[in-house]
Amino acid sequence: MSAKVELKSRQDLGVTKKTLKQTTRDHISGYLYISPFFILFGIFGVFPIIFTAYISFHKWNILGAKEFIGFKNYQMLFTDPIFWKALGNTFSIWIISTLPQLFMALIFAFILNQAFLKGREFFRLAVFLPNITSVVAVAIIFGAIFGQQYGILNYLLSFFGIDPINWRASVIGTHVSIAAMVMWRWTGYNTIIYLAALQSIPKDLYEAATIDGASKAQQFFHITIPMIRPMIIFTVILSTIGGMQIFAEPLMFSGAGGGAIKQGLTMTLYLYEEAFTRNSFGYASAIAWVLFLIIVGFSLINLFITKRIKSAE
Amino acid sequence: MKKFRFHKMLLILMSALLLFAAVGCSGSKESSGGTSKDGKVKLTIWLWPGMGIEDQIKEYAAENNIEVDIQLAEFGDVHNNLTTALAAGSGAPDISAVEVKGIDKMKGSPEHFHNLLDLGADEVAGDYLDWKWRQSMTPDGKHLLGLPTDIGPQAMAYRIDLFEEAGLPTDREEVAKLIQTWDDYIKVGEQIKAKTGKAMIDSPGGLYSVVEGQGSEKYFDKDGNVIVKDNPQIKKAYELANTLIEKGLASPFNQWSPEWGTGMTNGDFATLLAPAWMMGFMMSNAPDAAGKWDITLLPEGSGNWGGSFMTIPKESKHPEEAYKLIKWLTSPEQQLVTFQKNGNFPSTPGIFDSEDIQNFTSEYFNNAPVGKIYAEAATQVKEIIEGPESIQIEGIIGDAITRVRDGQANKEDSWKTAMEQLDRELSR
Amino acid sequence: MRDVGVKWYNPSRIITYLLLILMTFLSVFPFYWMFVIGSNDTSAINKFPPAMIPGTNFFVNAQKVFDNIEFFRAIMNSIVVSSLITLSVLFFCSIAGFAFAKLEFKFRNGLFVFLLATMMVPSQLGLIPSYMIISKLGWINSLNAVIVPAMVNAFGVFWMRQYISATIPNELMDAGRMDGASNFRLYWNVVLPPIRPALATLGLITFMNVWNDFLWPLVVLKDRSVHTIQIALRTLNGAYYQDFAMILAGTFMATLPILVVFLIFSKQFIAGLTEGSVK
Repeated sequence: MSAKVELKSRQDLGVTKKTLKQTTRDHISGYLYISPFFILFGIFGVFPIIFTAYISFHKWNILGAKEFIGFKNYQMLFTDPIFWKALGNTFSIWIISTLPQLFMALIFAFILNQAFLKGREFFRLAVFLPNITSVVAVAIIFGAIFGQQYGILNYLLSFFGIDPINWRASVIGTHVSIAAMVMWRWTGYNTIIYLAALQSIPKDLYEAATIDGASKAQQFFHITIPMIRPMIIFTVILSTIGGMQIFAEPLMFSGAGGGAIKQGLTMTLYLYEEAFTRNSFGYASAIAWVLFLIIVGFSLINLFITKRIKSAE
Repeated sequence: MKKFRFHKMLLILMSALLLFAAVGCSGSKESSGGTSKDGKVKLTIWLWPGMGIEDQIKEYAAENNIEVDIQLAEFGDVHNNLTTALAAGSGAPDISAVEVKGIDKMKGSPEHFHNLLDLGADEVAGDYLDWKWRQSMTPDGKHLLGLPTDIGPQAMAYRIDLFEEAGLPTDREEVAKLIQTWDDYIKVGEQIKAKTGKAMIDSPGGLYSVVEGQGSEKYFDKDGNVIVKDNPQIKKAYELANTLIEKGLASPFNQWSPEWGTGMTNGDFATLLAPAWMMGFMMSNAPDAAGKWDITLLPEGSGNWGGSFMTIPKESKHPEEAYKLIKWLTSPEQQLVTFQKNGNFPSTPGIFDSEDIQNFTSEYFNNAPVGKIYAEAATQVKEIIEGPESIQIEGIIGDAITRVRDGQANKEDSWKTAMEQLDRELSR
Repeated sequence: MRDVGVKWYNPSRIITYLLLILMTFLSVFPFYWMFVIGSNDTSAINKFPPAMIPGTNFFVNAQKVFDNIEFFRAIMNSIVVSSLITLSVLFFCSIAGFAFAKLEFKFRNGLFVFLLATMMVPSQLGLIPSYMIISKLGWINSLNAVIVPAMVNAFGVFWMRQYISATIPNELMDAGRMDGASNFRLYWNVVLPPIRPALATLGLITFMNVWNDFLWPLVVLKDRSVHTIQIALRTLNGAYYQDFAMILAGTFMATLPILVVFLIFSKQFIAGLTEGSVK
């Protein structure tokens, strides 16, 4: 049974009518094919979500009894200065790490996709290596790089006459450090995703453009970006969702408490801390739900922006 | 259409296959209260690596005709997993090691553990240091969660070269005489700073956590009320930590950071208030500083950092057998064995006079008789009531001190912020 | 195909290569340093200026790793888990993505949005309720607990759907239907081949995420015999102090299998390249 599909002239010009049988089959297939996800989610996903919502209206220290307190957790949340701090931190780190990262990933993917490139395999591996490196190792190494007195970075900066920066103690220092860790780890990941997307662009488009005298930069902006627009939307949404939930890097850099002035505390870290260090599971559940709403809102905003900026023909 | 049905079958078959492959791959293992095939009692035990007691447990099992399943997990994970299992009501082991930081929280819900007093723990109470015994007991004294294993009594490690450079005595007895109060400590610190430019202590928080425990009460009174704001000992501890910062006597390093290790090697600070187990850490992280450090006693008493217990979660179906095991394991004789093998400092004062401990010296620390010193320190630790939120409170105040050290707040504002945070968190 | 008339020493080329080399250095340096520490002893971390040259201790540290944990068994467990999950994810996500992208059925868009929303829920709190479920199913300490919940995920479906949307024109589908192909046939013969780069990518990402995951396996896999490599590596952490050299030697060794997997998947990538994209 060959896979060849022939475009014959019997294809109607205009809308292909679907038969009733086809529609029914589509429905059956459709639901059948997506059912594994929803079944699995139904078993393993729904209960935790409902449970978390339920607990958010209680006071519960995991080991003791649950005490119903209505919306009190949410009220406390809105007057909690640490929560707002965590919110600010999360957005700040997101802006510093996500935007440059996506842009760099796109450029790297574009470069790696070029025909002339020698050693493509090697560079691809190199760009992806950070993502494979163990998180534990990353913590130890970046800790040494960003040390205040003995850190490698400050050592290098001293050659430019810059005083040692206390990365860990200051707000901006911490945000930059954590953003650096995040960028280091995830740029390669996004590059690989964009690379896959770039494979889908027909080569002759580029050839035609080159023959027409378009520069690489022009090709980048006028062919590449519009053609992979769905992928860009994908990575923007994913980075939004992921970026709002940054957890491992701040945990390792600033410690579980997020630092003495909570400079490294992101919302997910705060959530985790409340649940597992302080055992205020009810409060943590409230944080989780507020975080969820924030992510939804912010994703919609980003989706709106991304959809407007680029549109392919 | 035949093809259609065939492929649908393929789809379903594949899913089923995957499921069966996964299921068939490995069986499930019971977590607690099992009986092995030949009818022997089977105990599941949770430990973290480095405790040094595995061989002894296996020895006991062989001699007493029971089976033991020792499951190792990372230190923090043992506690998290235990909490999860207890919360879910299943999956907890028969015996679990719990460290002093974790026992605080567990004490808040003693119903999840077998009360060792009911199993006869009263009879061995006298074998252990009072203050250690208290740590795994609920404030009302009615419920005992765990039997003590090792402890972390603190002494003062000091840099011989820095003391010498500052023109101070370097013999450990003379240093102890020189520094008999914390005010003495600060005076010596100023001298060292003037003559060598180095800090006196690695972290002001380190001093705080020792001094806070040297009074008669810490964060809770006997009725379980939080007494942080009015407790004079806490105030004193906070003031002392701040004095160190104001006079430039504290290094900027955070404990456990790689820089701290470097500072240890280079002698960036003159003293470290070190618990017994930290000796091993110093030896492996700052080997080049061997012979440059010595150890003597702390002023105004001692402190404790760390130490663990063996507990029996309520889910266990063999509490009596489990109790017999841990009673044997934590008995003075066995703690001596653990000390000999692994260096864990015992919590049973009865053996402090034994030769092993009295004659235990450390080449790294200039041949100091560390066994003797730490034994002495252990007896000086005060018995203090701890509550479920002790660790939290200590963390909040520790943060306050760090803020002042890093220049982000002055000491009054920092304290105020800390107290507000405390109120908020306790109400949750 | 070479760009006609462009010299190799063209400035933009040189800049490109420089950029790539810089990127490579930044990416690889931490990994290299991991090896340096792993081949020295722990105090190397604290040296200043920092140690930059590998030492001779690697095998000593590696031996310590082997003494402390069941390294190879854990690697096997990780391989089994990662492979099974990857295969499952590739199949189930691609077919679901196909459905969302190319089939029309009622509530399709709503269901897709719901799928997206599931990704936005922070997962850390799910640990305890998920544990309760797994416990009820009797899967504690069984690899099932790790494999089954991961067999299909929202990310994969989203990714496949986007890719299929972008690369498979509707005309192809219609033509296939004209020829009487069933939906499954369409999926298998028409859709799958051109999306090979996407599959390779998803496969790689999935394998790697599962390999590196530890939060969840930590909670459900307690017995040493079922530990995955990340959990096993965690037990190298002492309670009060870490032997960094040993830990980093262990993490270094644990990364090597993934490098191999990456290289294998990369070949798939290139194969997709030469087969040409949809014209």
